[in-house]
Amino acid sequence: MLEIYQVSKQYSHGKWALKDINLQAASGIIGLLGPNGAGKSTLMRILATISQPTEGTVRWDGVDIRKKPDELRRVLGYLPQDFGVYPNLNAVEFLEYAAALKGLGGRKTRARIMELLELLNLHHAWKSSVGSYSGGMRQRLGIAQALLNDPRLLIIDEPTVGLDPEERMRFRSLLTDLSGERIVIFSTHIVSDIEATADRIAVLSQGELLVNADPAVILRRAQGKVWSIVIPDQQLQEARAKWTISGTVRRDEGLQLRVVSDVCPHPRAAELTPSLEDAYLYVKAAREGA
Amino acid sequence: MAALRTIYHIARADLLDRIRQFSFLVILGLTVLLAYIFVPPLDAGYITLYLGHSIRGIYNSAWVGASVAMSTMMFLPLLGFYLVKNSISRDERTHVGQIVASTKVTKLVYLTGKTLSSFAVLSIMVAVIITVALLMQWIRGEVRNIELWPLISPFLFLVFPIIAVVAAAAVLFETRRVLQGGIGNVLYFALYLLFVMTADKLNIGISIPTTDMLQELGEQRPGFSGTYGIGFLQPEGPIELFIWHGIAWSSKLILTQMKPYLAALFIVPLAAVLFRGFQERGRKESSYSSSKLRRKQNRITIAETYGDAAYSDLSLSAQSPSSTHRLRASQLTKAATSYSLLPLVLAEWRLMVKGTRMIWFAVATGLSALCLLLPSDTSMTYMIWPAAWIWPLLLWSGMGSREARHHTQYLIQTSPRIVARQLMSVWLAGLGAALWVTLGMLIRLALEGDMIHLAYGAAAALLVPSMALVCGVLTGTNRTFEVLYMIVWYIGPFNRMPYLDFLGTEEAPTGTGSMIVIYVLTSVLMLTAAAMKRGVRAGAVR
Repeated sequence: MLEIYQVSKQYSHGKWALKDINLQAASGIIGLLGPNGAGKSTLMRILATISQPTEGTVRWDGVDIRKKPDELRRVLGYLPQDFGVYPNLNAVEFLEYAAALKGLGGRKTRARIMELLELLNLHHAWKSSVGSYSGGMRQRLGIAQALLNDPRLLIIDEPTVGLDPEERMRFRSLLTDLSGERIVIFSTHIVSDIEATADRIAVLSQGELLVNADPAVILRRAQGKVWSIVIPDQQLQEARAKWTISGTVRRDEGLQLRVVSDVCPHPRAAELTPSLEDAYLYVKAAREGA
Repeated sequence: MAALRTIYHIARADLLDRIRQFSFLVILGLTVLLAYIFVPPLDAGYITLYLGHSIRGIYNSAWVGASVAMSTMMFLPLLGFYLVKNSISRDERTHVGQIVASTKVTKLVYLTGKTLSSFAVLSIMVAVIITVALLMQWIRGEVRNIELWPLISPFLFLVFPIIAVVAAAAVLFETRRVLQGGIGNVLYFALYLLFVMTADKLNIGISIPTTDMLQELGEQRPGFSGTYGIGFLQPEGPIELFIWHGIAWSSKLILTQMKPYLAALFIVPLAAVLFRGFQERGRKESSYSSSKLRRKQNRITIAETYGDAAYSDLSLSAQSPSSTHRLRASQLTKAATSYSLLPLVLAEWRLMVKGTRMIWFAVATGLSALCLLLPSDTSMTYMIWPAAWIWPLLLWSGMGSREARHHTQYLIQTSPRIVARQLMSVWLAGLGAALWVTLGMLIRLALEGDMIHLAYGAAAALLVPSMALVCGVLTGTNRTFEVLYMIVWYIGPFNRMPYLDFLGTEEAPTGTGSMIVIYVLTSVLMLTAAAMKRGVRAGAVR
């Protein structure tokens, strides 16, 4: 059980990266959604015991991880956004090293490493030095590293960065596969990644937790708030200034806009069924407008 | 004109980037401290320049200028080089190099800009030293009358030409991968020693003022026939003073001192020839689809199962779904946790030696075997024993800093019981490297019953990996240990200076018992410092 109580983080220059974050989870996939600089990575670093909150508490199975970080580290899998590898090692050697750090041993470790490489589609390149890997391959190696100790808490920061669409789909399916008894927290600014996998969505903006709810609940909030309207091309700038726009499509008659708004933006506007992206923008716009 | 403008802007941007870092302020602070130490009072107990056994010039502008300039010439070519040798690698790391590669800027223009920036950084340090030297003359107060020309001219004609070469050499040593790392650092250190030993013959640098000083002292004290000493030295008797009036700079003498500038002008184009630029290097290193790697792939049997699709980064799932979906995350073998130290020690050892060529092991084994077969006196006299202690330098220097250099701290920081386990494992791997090259000698000493030198050797085996580890952990770079250890090794075991001679290579080392205790305690202190620093990183980053 992961419990986050009133966690805030202030940097030395005085800026608050996180403010009063509260979140509890027992199992399932939590998608952290938010724009760049929202505080997602800061929160994940705190949860991964790399950083400490200025205020508040994080508990794992009732234990304060600031006081006893090893209680969590034993069952933690973490992949940061900007992670490195030892370029001269091959994939197996790198994972064996990571396994040794995590305290894993025995013959089964080697078997698990080979299986993870197969799972992450790296088995064909395991003999090559990881320094020669592409960005996507490195990302998958990072994911394999995070899964080595069969973590009960898996924290992955922007895992789909560097993955092409097909690999992203594979990764989403892997995430779904991984859920169950464990907690998976992953951050992204790509709404479709979350839409496909998350049981729960936490939207962060400017260090604040705007919403923490089931995707269906978030979608319901945006019901009746999304509109379609066609405007002449030259009015796009004006429309952007006036409305929150979640999408544009070029049509013969002009630009078709998806507008997120509490009220019908135009007499000719038609109501649309909200997508999660619309709902995310609605939540964000509502907070910014508040 | 356009090229000059480009050079100016490359140099300016690089210089601004360097001097706006906090570390540069620290370096200037250390420079001020060094310049202060270079002008000791009469009762300081040490002297930085003496003639005969204990004669020095009175602190007038000529003596202060020349003596501080000479001390600067001793330390700045060495430390300055390691300080500025990061300009190109920084552009590589920050990907600015890729922007440079996409422009019309030639390698010569780029490297000239980088050299000028390095020269400017070193010049700022020299300017600080000159200012402090001036202040120190006034503070010491032996002669309050400050004369700018005698004070500054030794820097103008002796120090600046040398730092021009240092700046150019720093760029040269960044042009090829083999020179960028530890091998380059060791090679430069050897070149520095060569320069120190041959500068007199080239009639440049330190020999100019010392010749003049000795001549003037000889005129004042007929019959004087001593030589000089530079460094942090203990005078053999009470310090005697004489008045030195400085160097009479003739145009011929000044022209002779310009030789290093010519050398710098030669080095920069040479560097441009050697420099591969950023495009070629990037392609060679990062492309997974390079032909070499494809050939390597052909040897991997498992890839053959999937045919050509296996070479593609992503196509496997599309072309052979059955093979990729047959394994699910829930079916993975459960790995057991043991927290045993041995796998981690072995993993750290593999990490340490990975990429090391067979020749390293051959030489290390050869040195160890020679020490075992030859009498220990012979190994010490012919420097085989000290040589064994410099051979693992590049293995040791990666200790403690590897995580920072490769951005793998996250692995360390999120693993359980990591401070004790990982740090100990790295240290044991370093001890393993030490034993690889020194075991032969340790056995020999035991067989000969030379317990004193055996104790020295055992203490050194604790001391050196500890020093490597603490340098790496505290500074996050391998360069700190490489530079410090080379200096300590050269002054200590190689030149047999008391206290720093951690091998006790003197025939009858003095204070053996206390020195060994000091070395062991120092090792413990260094390990504690590393553990404390790592502990803060691993558990209490705020």
